[in-house]
Amino acid sequence: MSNDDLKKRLKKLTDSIVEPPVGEMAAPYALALAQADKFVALTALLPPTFVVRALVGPMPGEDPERTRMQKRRDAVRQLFLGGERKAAVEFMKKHAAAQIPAIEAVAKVASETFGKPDAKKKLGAAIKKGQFTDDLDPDTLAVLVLFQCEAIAEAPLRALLEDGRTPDQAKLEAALQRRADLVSLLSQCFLTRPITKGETR
Amino acid sequence: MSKQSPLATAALSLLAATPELVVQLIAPQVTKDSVDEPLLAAVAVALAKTGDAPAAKGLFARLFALRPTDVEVAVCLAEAAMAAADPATAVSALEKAFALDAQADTPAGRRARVLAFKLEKQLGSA
Repeated sequence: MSNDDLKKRLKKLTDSIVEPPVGEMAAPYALALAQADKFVALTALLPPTFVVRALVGPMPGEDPERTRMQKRRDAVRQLFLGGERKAAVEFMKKHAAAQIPAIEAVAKVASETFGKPDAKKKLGAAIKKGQFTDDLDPDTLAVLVLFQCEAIAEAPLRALLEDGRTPDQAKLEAALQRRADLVSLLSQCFLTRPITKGETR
Repeated sequence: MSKQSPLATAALSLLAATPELVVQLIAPQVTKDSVDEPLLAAVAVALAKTGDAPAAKGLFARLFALRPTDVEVAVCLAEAAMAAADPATAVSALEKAFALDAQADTPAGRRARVLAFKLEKQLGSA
């Protein structure tokens, strides 16, 4: 069986995947996805621009000259994708905390997730309450969310979904529009080989 | 589902915390003609957790032969095959998983969809 044949067979499979209707995406679909992949589930729950912007760069219409933020985003992304999650947090604290004081508090909670189980719940609860969405740099939040995807306890995530909290409809629609980006991100995060130190993708 | 043997019970109880012990102590007890499904499942998962993807793939393939309508096993086989760099087996297993759960009604069926995207990306960048 050649590689091309395998690709054709896979394409047939992926082409058969049907998007869930927007209104039905919240609880059952995300819960099921949570069991398969927490990253996907969280992208369905959280404002999608946070995730998309942090990983794919400027959105259409954004100023491409926002190089400073882009560089910071790229650095954190590379650390994260390379498995250097602690380093990603440290980098984020160092470079972003001066601009947005609230980041310090969040980064502290995030750092604790590496060593203290309770911190996972705190961060999960904070996400649930939407505490971060108003006063945090979206890029920073995206990084927090991304590494938290692996750390977050399944029980709080399930509770979050089963509470019946439905994501904002407009944000869900935006998430669906960016579906292709998210699939690509999934691949970047979970599939491709880790970036080695000093290497750029 | 066959009745759970004492060996399978031991393997399942050890699996979550110490999969290494399952591999070291219980995997050698699995004979090539064993049809103890819970035992095969526990050892296969332990092998996958401890990074022996080729061996895990072999056991999941045996388990799928015993449970040809179990979408969860098909997906586990696909995942192990992907980890073992065997895309042909992975694609076949995913095709079976898609066929067994055509509407993605189960978590395993949805996981199969995620894996299909991942494998497509892997093959695309190969």
